[in-house]
Amino acid sequence: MAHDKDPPQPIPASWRKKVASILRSSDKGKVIVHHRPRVEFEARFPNAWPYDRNEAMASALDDPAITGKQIFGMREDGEVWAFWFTFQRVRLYGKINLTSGGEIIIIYSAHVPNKGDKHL
Amino acid sequence: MKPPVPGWKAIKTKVPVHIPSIEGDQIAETIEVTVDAWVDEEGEIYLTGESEEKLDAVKARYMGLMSPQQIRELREMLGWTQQQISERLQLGAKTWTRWETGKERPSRSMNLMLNALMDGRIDATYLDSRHPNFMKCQTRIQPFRKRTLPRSFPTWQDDSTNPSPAYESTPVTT
Repeated sequence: MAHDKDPPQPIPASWRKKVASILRSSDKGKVIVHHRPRVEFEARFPNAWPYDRNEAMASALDDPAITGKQIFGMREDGEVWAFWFTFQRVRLYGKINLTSGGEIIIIYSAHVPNKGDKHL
Repeated sequence: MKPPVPGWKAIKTKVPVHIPSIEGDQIAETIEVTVDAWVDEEGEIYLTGESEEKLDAVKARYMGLMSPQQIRELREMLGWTQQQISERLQLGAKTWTRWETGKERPSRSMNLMLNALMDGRIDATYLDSRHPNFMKCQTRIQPFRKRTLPRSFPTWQDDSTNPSPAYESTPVTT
C-alpha cells in the first residue's frame, strides 16, 4: 500500500502506453470521465476541448521518465496512477484508472492541484 | 445498455457547458445540457465519450463554429480533396480530416476563414497566391523584374566571379 509521503515511482511502461493509446483513440466508448474533472477543466480552460485534455495527458505519459503515484482503494477495479501533466503551461493533477479489462479508462482527475495533491 | 463498470446505473444528468469569450480565457456564458451518464453506488457521476461529444457539439454551435458535417460539405462544394484543401489552407496532413470527423474543432480564426470560403469571399486563386510555395516561385522569377526597373538602376551580373554591381550602359536622359 502506497502512502502519501512515499516518493513518486516510475509509471510502468505497459500502463503508460495503453492509457496514452486509449486517450488518443477515436473510440468514444473507451474513455469515461468523472463529472467533476470535465467541469473543472472546462471552467479553467473555457477555450479548450476534451481532446486537448486527453492529448495533454497522453503527451505526459509518452515520457518514459514520468513518475507518479499508484492509487489504491478506488471503488472500480483496475490500476490507478496519479501524475502531473501540463496544459497551456499550467501544471495539472491527473488521475486515471486503466480498468481490469484493459480497454476502458476512467479519468478521475484533471485539475489544478488541490492542497492534498502537492505531495505527488 | 451494459454498464462499463458493474454496479453503475444509466441516468440522465445536466452538465454545465462553458462558452468562452472571444479572447478565450473567460467564460462568456454557461448553459446546461442534459446528457446520458453513469452513476455509481455512491452517487458519483461519470460521462462517456459520446456524452462529451454531445456537450462539445452544443458548445461549438454556441461559439458559431462550423459542424463537422458543414466542414465536409464546404470541401465537397469546392470540389477539393482533403489533401488539396489542407495544402491550400496550409494545414497539417490530418488536421482537416480531424475536423470533418469531429475529432477536433477549428479555431475561431480558422472558422472565419472557412466561412469566407463558404460565402465565396475568398477562392482558390487567393489561397494559392498566399501559399509559401507560390512565394518561393515568385522569388525564383524575380530576376526578370529588372526589365521593369529604371534603366540606371544597378543590376547584378550573372558572372559569379565578378559579383560587383554593374550599371547599364545607356545613360538616363533628363
